[in-house]
Amino acid sequence: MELIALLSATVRMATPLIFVAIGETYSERAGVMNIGLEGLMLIGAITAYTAVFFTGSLFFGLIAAMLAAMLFGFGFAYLAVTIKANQIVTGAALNMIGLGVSGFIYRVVFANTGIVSAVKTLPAIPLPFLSEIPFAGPILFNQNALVYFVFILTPITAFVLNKTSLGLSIRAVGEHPRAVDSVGLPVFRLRYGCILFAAALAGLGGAYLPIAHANQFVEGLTAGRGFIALTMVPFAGWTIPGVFLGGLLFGAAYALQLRLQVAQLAIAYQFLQTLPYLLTLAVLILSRNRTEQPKALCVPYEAG
Amino acid sequence: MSEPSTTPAMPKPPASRLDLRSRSGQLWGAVRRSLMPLLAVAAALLVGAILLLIFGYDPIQAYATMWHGIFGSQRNISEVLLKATPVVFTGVAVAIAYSCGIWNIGAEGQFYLGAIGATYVGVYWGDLPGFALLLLVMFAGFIGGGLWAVIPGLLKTWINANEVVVTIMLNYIALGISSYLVTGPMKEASGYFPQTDMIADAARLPRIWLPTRLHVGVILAVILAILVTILLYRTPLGFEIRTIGSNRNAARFAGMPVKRTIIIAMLLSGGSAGLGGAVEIAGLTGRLFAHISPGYGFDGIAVSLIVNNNPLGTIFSGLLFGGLRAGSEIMQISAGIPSVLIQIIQGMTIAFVIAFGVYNILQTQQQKI
Amino acid sequence: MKNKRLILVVATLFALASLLTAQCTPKPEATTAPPAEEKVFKVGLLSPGPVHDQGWNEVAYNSIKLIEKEMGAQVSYVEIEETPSVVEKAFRDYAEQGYQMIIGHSFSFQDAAEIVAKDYPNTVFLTSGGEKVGPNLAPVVFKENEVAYLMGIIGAYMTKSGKALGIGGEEIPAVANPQLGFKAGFETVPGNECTLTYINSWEDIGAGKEAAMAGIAAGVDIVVPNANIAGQGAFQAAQEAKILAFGTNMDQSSLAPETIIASTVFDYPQAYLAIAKEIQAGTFKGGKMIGIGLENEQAAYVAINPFFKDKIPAEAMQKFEEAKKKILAGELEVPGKMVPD
Repeated sequence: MELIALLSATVRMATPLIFVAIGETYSERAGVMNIGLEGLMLIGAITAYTAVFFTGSLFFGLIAAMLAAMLFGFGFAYLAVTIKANQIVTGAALNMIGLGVSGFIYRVVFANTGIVSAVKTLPAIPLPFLSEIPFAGPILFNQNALVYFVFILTPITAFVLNKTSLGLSIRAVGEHPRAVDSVGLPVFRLRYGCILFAAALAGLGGAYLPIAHANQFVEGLTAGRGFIALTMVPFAGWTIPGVFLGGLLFGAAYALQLRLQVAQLAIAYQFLQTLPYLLTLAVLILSRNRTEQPKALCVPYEAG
Repeated sequence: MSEPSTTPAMPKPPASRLDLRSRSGQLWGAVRRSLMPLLAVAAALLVGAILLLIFGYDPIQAYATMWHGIFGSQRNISEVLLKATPVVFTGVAVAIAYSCGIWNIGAEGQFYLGAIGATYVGVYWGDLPGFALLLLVMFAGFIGGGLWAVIPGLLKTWINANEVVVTIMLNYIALGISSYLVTGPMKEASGYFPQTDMIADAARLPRIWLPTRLHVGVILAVILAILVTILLYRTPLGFEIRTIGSNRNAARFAGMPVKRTIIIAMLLSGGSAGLGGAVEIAGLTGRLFAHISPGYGFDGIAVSLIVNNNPLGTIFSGLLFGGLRAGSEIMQISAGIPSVLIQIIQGMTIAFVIAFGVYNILQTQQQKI
Repeated sequence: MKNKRLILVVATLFALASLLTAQCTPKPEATTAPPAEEKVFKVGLLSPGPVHDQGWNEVAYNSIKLIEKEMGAQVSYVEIEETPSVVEKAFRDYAEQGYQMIIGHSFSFQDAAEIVAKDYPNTVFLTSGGEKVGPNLAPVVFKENEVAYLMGIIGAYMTKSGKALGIGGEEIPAVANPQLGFKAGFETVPGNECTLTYINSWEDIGAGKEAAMAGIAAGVDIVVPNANIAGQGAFQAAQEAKILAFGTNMDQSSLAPETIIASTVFDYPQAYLAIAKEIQAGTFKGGKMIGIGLENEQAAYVAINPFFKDKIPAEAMQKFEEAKKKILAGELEVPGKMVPD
């Protein structure tokens, strides 16, 4: 029972990380690093919370979260791709703006009017038959819709990136944009597309927090998840299955450290809290995956 | 200038080269370039003013208070310098590593380790003679931060572990260590609050602009930026660092000790951030708390990148960040503008500064040299 | 070459800046308030986080709002990093502008408050927690551990599994002390065990929820979150698992009406309002800690959720009252004491 609870918590913790990291993998494979994921997640979170609060529709909340994050993602893309501004600094600015905008909306709409309250959340949907499977059933098949979506999205995005011509173009844009340009493929449009895709998934990952995992919004709710997701991408060697496993590993370590704290070991809780980070480091050191980053990562493309 | 002989595969050494453009063209270019950052800040403030107006705040009053808060008095100027100091240290840290081709996102953690080292010496070795103690405190900060940065350096050179992952993870671990120390082994002797005891008086950095609390650390930051610039652009070691940064394989072919140089660069990088932590302890707080930095290490990344990782440039981007932080406080205190709105304006300011091509201008210059 | 240009860029910036400063300096009065407003009572707050955090900082925000409403005072707040090195300037900014009362809402602001207080004898500096005192400097300290101890006694008789879980944001006195008090109260019944954990965040509602669920999986049937809004995730988990919970710092019963048995209440707004009135009347005396404990029944107490009034065993309430008497008489020392009296 304890193990089922642990693994079930793992999946809950990992879901938003995997969403965001899948998107960022696409973006980085196309040569654009967006460190503004935390800001985009917050935009997604406040949009979803506000939308669900006023419309009561969870589906609408998720769509709105993705669109809002894409709007800010478009701004990032304009600066990073068209204007060719430094991607890292632009991303840092995006984080500040995301924190500010989400906090401002929260204060104007909710805190200052005194209507702070819980919203309804995505219910757990036990899948018929599958949820009856001993052990795996309650862990994998008695979760909310977003968790199922991440299970579906992972193989699809992996397939698209590795086996389709679109994926080939995306990967080529991140390695040799000039070659891509010379065969007549649109470098800018591919990069814009990947950035917007990443933004939509960051919005979704942010939305997961206030309308699926918990039922509230607060300033800074994401608590650094955007940065962890960012770390997952190089950790996984820029592969989709890798970020999926990396997200699960981190989620598992987090769920485990909470349980170790409850178990009252004779270890200072601060060290238990660092377990997810230590474990990520350990796996990084032990694994033999030494993929180099996309060659054109962080390098703006000069047409002509 | 003693420069090692170059091979065609390597970037050109930093010898000065005559600019072929006319003198007037040079002058105009310089004017244009100096105006760009100003124009960027002005544009951001303009958009900010529109935002303030929309939400019912008086932008003129807001900016007047901000101006006053930054330049209005001796004390306000000193506080901007104090806020700029730590991000110059972390900015220089990022710049050194970047020159060597390493992404040091870990300046935050190195800042903490430096603060911890400095506090340890300042509290527990407090009876050492005056100046020696101060030197040792600074040295402990340098070593604390330096060794913390050597970890990703070693992992990079030994097993090619991605330094972005390693440095970010080490940030979280450093925060855990700091929290553990102030609630555990280094908690103050009376045992009530999660903070260490005060460091010895002799370990405090002297004040230089009384009655303000501006301390000698601000000068140390400038000296560090200058020394690192000289190191990177005027010494054989700096040449090796930059060569490795621009093309590691070429450096290897040229027979440079790539691994050793990366480790040294990381020691210097982390040491700079750690020195920043030591300066913060010895100059301002006098003791360690769980939260000794509000994210100076992360600001350092932007501080360094805005000026294209030019160590000397961090002094000025550091001042921009110091001014932004000081401006935020005073706009809240005197104009009642909520922090979240200020955050939006500041985020835009940084975006505008970068979009107006300050970075690109500097980059073109560096390529020209 | 590059450096020269850079220096030129910056020199221009600074020349411009100093030019403008020179123009501005002769008239700094322009930004300060006109003398007619001198009589206005002004209260400033240094908040170590967003004021709308539904927790620690919102309590302080409510305090200045109450003072504004009740006394017609002019109030202002600044959200500042919880980094002690940066707060000295904010204290000075308020003092410089003639604020009569400044609240530093963290124990870690006390060093800066002590330094600034010496320079501004006409301003009263208060810190929420801390031990430093001066003629115009005093910490406001609630005896949170004693109130939490009493709540722990109720918990001791409401648990079936004998296991409770405290979930703290970070290990700061305002969290650790009441959690220690609760633990001691809960463990007055032999065999009971209360575990204390930390989630290292005040905003991470998901972490609060997961921490509670980790405890529930280990057999805990009472959770006591003390982590601002992150703690509300624990209430959510408790509701879903149909176990019980206790609120902290304010009456939180309405957040989970059939789950939260009782809450510790520390009425900072009333405490600060009372101090503000003293300051305005000129009767405020510093020099000592302003300790508020069970003797002040309006300010520090256990608020029992009406839903649970009849469900708490009589024996629990009897022990509760006994312990309260002992604490008030000074016969019982509760763990988690903040500072020496």
